[in-house]
Amino acid sequence: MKTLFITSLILLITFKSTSQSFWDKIEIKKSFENKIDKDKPAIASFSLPTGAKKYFTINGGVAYRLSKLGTGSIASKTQWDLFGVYNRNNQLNKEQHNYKGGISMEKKIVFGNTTTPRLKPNGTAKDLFLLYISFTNEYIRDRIDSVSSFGSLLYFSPYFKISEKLKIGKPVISGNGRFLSYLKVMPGLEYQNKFEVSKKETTGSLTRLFFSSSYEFYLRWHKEEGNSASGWVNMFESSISYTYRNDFYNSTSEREGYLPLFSYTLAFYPFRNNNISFGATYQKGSDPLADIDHEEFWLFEFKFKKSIK
Amino acid sequence: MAKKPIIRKIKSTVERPIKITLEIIVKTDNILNNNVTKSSSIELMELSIADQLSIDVKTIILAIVGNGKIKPKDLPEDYNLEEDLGYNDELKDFLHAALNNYVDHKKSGVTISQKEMDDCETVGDCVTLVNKKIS
Repeated sequence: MKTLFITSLILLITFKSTSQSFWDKIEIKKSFENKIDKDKPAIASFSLPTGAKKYFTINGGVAYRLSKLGTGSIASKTQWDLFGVYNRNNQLNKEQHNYKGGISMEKKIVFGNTTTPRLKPNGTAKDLFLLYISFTNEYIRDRIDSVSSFGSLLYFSPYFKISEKLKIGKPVISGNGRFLSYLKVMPGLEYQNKFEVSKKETTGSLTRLFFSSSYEFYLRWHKEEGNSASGWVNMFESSISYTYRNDFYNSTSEREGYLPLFSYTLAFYPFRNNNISFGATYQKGSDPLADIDHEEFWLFEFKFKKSIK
Repeated sequence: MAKKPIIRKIKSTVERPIKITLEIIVKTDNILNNNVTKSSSIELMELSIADQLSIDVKTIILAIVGNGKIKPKDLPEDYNLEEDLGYNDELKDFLHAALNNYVDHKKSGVTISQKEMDDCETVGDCVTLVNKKIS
């Protein structure tokens, strides 16, 4: 296993138009398969893997998004992304060249009464149980290994409160606003059917159990000097995530077994806004959907976020 | 002649009964004065509907993030959803669905667009948006 050191400059530019148009429905992201990677921006950078030739890295995709809001006894928001993703030498010490296309559906459901919101006897709001469901169907073409496959991915993410200090998916704010954290869990299933492969023995289908959990912690400071209870922005970010995959059903001759993926990120926001940050991410393990096979690498990031109205 | 107070109960016009609807109105022989007290009653009723709407929106905002520390009536309108209440993009989508459902229940067929939701940065922005949609 080689350790890679990758540096990237990430520009997050958001265009805010004054009217709803075709371009408002276009999204540019790293991937569209689940919300873990959807939160990450598209990356175009030069990577400098240790002891290997220089790679040019392109990793991102474009999607056309449609939304629908559901009303009634439960409230919901459904979004469809028609997407195409291109990965070229993405975080690997081997050559990579693949592309994906497909459709993903995300549904966010709010359980509980939102038409006549209820208060608890002590006058505070009653917690609402929230559920995120993501379902993706995609075609993947790996040009290096000459493999074509079809994938179906299903993920769930619940949001609920156990106590004021322990919530799943929801924010825990403490220290009068100085500390913010999120604990997230996401179980799921991944199905992949490989066909048109260079090695015939790898033809077949497999189904993986998927489980991901992450903990994000933010140390925050005031947007402006002062001690008011409001106006907090990030100063330091520390987040850790663990992903479990195991192919409990596999008709190909290559059993994957247990595939863990660990990731740790540390970031610093030097100014009293969330627009600029620099930090590092350490990642170790495997992600078969991104063609990352037992890799270990450091990713140094400088992020600049700008909204253009 | 001594003015005799009478108690009149004002019924809410919205589906959910609103509390605080008792008023003491002083009866006078002067018709003009009587009109003034009637219009004052309507204003008070509208005020309590607006107050209830504000409490409802604040309750939804706090319920989505599971905040049991702040009472909806004490939630400041200048609180920023992201900075002060911990909202992120995913949670704002849930809030969009919940507020849209609330608006649809109050006024059938009315929806909150993605653009309108994106512009909601503070608690006050959400209260104003829902108020505008329902009125």
